[in-house]
Amino acid sequence: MKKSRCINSILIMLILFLSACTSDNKNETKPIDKNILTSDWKGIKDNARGTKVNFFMWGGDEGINKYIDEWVAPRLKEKYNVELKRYPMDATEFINKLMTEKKANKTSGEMDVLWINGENFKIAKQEGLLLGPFTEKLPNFQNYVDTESDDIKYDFGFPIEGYEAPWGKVQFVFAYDSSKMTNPPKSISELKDWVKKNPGKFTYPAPPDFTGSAFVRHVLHYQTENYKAFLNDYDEALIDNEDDKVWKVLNEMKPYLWREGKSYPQSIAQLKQLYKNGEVWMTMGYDEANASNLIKSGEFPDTTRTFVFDKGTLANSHFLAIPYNAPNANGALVLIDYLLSPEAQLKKMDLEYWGETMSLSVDKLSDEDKKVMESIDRGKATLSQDELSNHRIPEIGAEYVQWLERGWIENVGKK
Amino acid sequence: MVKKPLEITLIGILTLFILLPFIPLVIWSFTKHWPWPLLMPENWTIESWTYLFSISGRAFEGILNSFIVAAIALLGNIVLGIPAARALAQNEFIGKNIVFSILLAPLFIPYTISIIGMHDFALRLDFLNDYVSTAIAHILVTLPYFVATIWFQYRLMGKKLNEAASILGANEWKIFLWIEFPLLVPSFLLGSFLVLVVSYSQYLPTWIMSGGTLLTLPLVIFPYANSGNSSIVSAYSLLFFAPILLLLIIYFLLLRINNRKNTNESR
Repeated sequence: MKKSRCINSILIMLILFLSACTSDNKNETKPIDKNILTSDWKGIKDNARGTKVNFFMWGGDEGINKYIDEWVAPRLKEKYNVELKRYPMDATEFINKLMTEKKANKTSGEMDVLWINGENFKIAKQEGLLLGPFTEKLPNFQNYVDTESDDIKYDFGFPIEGYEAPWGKVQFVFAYDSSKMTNPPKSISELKDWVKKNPGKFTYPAPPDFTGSAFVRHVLHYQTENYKAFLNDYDEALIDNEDDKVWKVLNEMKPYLWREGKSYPQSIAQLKQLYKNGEVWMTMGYDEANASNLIKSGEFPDTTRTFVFDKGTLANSHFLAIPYNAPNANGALVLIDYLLSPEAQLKKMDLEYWGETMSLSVDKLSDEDKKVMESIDRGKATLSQDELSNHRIPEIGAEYVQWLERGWIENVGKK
Repeated sequence: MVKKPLEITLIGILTLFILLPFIPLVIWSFTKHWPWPLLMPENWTIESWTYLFSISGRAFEGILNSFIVAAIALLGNIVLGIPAARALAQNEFIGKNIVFSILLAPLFIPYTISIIGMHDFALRLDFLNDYVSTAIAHILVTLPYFVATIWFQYRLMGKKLNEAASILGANEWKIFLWIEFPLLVPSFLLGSFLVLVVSYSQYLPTWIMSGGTLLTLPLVIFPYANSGNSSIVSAYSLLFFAPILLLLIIYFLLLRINNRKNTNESR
């Protein structure tokens, strides 16, 4: 008798405790207003005032994190009275999270803005995980972005249709130590010759690593005569003619790679580590300013320089999107618009935080902003804007990328 | 206490084995560039540490969140674990072994399975505060450690003292407060220590229950784990270890105070 009373009191305490803990902030979030895509910009700005916006993005770089937390957040608060909170999460993870929420019919989620591109965007758009076309709403998108160019209209060959706004552009570059080699190779065939003359001094991350996969696409670009066909829809017949040429070059290089090609670095991080240790003389990456950044922080030797191939290197854009169940879509729009402002984009270009190319069109900038842009120090290892933009090649479709990654494992990795 | 040379060397090797990996961590956290053949880096910097404690580094936020969750989880463990351990140790009933196995199940059921279930659970518990829903998941993971330690102490105690007190007219609460609890203290401290440390290092349950929005220390650290930035990763690892060390010291202090109190009382 006594014992059951004791248990009862414990249970009642527990229930009281749990009910006291149900939070207020979550109950406040209401199912989002679908009308947001039809309301005008002034209304959006007014509604966003005093709200909090959650920005989910990859969080593995201190420079990028600082740019958001220390530069963007205080200014967003001051200008629009919107509080910005950054959450570090990989794109594949938040897409999975969204899918689960969609299946469970969760109408009010936690994420307002996502940093996304390529395959993840394609899945998100096809599965209906995104809010809808919103870029037309944004004044800065209308005023400063070249809305007609292909890298704004397509993301890895997939039509964007206003579902995401371009945040920045990156270009693939190779980095080398100029104290160890003077004439960097200018094409895949020159690279092959160089590798043969300098055995063990070059390697690339094993696909499906993002960077390694991009390196293999450069080989495809050099070996195929009709690269343009790969930008279109998936066609199996095209592959059958081309793939042997790609594997042939890579297999010819293989015995002269680091560790005779018996093992490859598993990630770009490992390749960079090899370069830092001086084991290999070249590294690479989908970020033209990364080498300068790493020289500045003291991780790369001071003599590091970058180069692109004569026929160009891959370039792509990355984007910002709003999920279908964003609790604060007004705030999300305000944040994205601010990130696309010349002010924020120019700061992003500065090596102080990030050093990345703008997504805005230089021709559309005011004369004042152009002057600021020219004065930005992008670091001694970063190539000039002209040299970069004259050597750009577009990305191929996502299915072809997957096919190359699988093919590499079968035809190069396992051999 | 005379120690044999063999014993001393064994302890020495063990200490080295545990301590050696910390040395490169400390060095790495103070430099950005430490190429392979060099014994020591050429340039030293405290940048990684200043980053950790900047707005972006979120060291304090991470530690604070971790401890709020761990404290709620400990509270839940006490409320659920002590009665469960007591019932299991002092009573005989049909299906006792089954109940005991179920309580210990989180230890031997593969993590992935319970996580999938938790995912569904998380969506239904959406009305709860992130701290509480995360702590519930942590209770699930930590309860076996707590119940097992408390259960063992109850078994050692037996029921005789309880029966004596009960004959003298003490009620259930008094027996617990004046007889059982003082005897439980050492295992209660150990169990609490385990709960706090295990909860503190959880990544997946936190991630799933909060949807990645409750930034405990493991969630703050994880994005850097694969970034190749050895300096930042080393600094975070050391930061992660510090509170555990602190807890361990607190545990030993409390244990010593308790022992001293007992010897004083028995004099």
